[in-house]
Amino acid sequence: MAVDPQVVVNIATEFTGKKAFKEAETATSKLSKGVKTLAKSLGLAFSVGAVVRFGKQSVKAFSDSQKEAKLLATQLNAVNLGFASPFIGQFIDKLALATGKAGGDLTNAFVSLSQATGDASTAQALLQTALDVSLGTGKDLQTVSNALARAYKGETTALAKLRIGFTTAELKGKNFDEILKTLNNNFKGAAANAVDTYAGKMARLSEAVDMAKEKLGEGLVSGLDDASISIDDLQVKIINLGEALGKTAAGSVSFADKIISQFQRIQDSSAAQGLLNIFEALVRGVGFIVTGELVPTMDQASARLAGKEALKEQERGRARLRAAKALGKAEKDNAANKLKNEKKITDEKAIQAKLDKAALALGKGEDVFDLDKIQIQAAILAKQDEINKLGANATDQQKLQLANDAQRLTVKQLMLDLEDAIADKDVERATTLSKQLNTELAILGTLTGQTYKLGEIDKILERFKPKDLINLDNLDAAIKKLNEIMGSKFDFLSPIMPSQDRTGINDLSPDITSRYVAGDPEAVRAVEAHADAISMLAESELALADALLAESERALNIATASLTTGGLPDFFNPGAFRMRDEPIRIEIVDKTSGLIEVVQNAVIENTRYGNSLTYSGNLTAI
Amino acid sequence: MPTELKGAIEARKALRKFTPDLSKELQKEMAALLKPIVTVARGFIPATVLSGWSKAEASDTKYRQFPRFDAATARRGIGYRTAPSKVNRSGFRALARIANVSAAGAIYETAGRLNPDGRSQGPVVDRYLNGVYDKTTHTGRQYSQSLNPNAGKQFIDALDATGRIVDANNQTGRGRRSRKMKGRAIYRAWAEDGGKTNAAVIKAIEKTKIIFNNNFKAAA
Repeated sequence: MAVDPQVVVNIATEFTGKKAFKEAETATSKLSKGVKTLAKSLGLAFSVGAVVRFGKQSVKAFSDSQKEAKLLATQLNAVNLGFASPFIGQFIDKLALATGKAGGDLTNAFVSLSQATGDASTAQALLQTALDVSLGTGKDLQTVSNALARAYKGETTALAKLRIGFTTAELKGKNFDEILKTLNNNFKGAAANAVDTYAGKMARLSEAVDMAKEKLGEGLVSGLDDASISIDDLQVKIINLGEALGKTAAGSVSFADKIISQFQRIQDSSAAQGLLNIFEALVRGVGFIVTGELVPTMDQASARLAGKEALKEQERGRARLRAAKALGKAEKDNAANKLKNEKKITDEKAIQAKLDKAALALGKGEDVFDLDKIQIQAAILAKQDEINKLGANATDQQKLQLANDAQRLTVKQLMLDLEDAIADKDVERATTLSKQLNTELAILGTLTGQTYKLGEIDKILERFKPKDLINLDNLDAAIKKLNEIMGSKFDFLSPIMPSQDRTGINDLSPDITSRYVAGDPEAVRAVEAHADAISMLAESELALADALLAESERALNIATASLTTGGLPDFFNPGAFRMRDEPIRIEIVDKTSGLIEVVQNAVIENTRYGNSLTYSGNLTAI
Repeated sequence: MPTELKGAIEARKALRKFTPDLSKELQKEMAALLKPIVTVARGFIPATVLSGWSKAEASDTKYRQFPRFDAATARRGIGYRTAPSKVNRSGFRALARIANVSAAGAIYETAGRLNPDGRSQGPVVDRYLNGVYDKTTHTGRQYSQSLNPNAGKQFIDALDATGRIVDANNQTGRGRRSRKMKGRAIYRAWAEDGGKTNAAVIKAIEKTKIIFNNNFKAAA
């Protein structure tokens, strides 16, 4: 609502003046306020009525203080930290003065923490954190300390229930050090900030007053003396009483227990009440004489105190409400921020998905323009074209070479695809490509093996056959022998070796047979050895027959080739091979049994792979 | 002249800082006191004043037109504030205000309080324009801008017919009375209240200050 100063009714105005005047006034106001506050505090502290009340409260405060000290000592003893009791007491006193927290609250909190940690220094550090959290959130110090103590032991439920920014899930995911670090980060300086406020300063003063009460209770006589109350007789009596009590207490039981009980007795005893009433009456009388005003009675003072306590409680309630509201607002803000962050993350994911999609498209584009792949594809096409051009005219060797090249290109292409799949982290595709690559490699290996074997075969054949044909010495010897037998007739179809009569080879002597039937071990071994020998003989003959068959086929091929013109040299002229009628007996000394086996295996293997035994440059069969 | 307080601004600051609840309670209390005045003031806004004043404004002008009177807008424009105002030129701050902020409402509120018969026609003055000397009327703000010499009076008479201007300044004593507490709506309502609300607001502030001080004394 923009306000036009011309059309406005100003209510309850205040002159604030210019800035300089304002600052001066503020400073003056603060000074006067401070002076007034000090005067009021002093007035309150040293008024006659207050002195009486102060005296009574002091006894109770000292009693409470001793209780706290004893509790602290007992608890520290329980965790073997009794030796540190005096130092920790001092620490707590200083902390109470610095923060305005009651010494009793701090003691209880420290006890809880020391029980959990079993370590005084850790408990002190945790107490500081608990104070920060307590003053930063408005939570009760004891509640916070208990929650921290449980969290130290791994139970984070209480900490979550504090609702100081942790969820149960978050706490479960953190160890205590992390939790403590987070708490220190979040609430660091909260205690200092709280103490720096007016209320905090007042609390510190209040704590100082409480401690003064304790001190006064501890030395009631000196406290009364400081209050400038001239009641010498009462002083003497109380001093004597205190001394007597102290001496009595020191006799058999611990000092603290006795002091506490004796003071309680003093409070409860009618004699002490009577003394205090006399004391009160004296003070009231002196106060009336000095000030001319009737000093309020203890009941009146108590009623006032109760009223102030009620107001304090009201204020505490408001403070708690404010803290709860602030926490609620903070949580609401956190939730809003969380939602905002989630939305941001979702947006980022959406953007990333789009980018991935674009990258995929780009990858596809790169695939299209991948020079390696293009070259390989071109090479494959070229090989296929070459195969097509050669067509039926291609020799097996050429076909094999081309197949090898094409297979290598296929393998290379698969390797590139597999690299891409691995780069894309496409597991399924990579797996498929791996299998395919293995298959292709096996095929390539087979082809390569065939090439090798073909080479080996070539070598073998070169050693086996052409050496007899090409070696001039052998050739000369053969021509010479052929010339010697010129005129004789060579029958290629006649058996090279006469078959032996093997009738009865399987027959066994009756003696052996009868012994074999009877189960004679020697006869059994003999029969088996005989069977093995027959089997080996059969196999040997079969191998020899195969070798001879192959040789015969080759010879037949040569002979067939000789029918064509210019196909063979002169000495292969069939006319020159016209033999005389008497048969020629060629005896082959079997020095090639191993070679025959090799050849046989090679033939079988190549036949199995469908490869022709004729190779490039060989004489082709018509 | 409104009642002057001392330390009220600081007290409000302290309230807001140390006892926000108390501060809010004070604001609520003040609002409850001011709301009846606002209601009464809104009741002084007529449904129609002059038939021509309620016509729609032209939409294509480059200057700010004379604001159209709309009773609802004018009534909505009357409200209260319980937050302290800024410091005015004289160095004063108000802890609460009742204001009439709509343009037409402000015109209805104040028209005629300076010149009850409307602004007079400006005197004829010489003018040199485009190399030619001629005569024209003075165009200053203190003069009527209308060609009708009775325009102002007719307008104010029409407004007076629906509501009279009332002086809410009930201060007594020496010195000249400001005219700035005169008006037909909020000032009239304030005047009819007779200072009761003003006293109640101040009392509320003082009471809160006392509670605040007592709380701190108790805390001490």
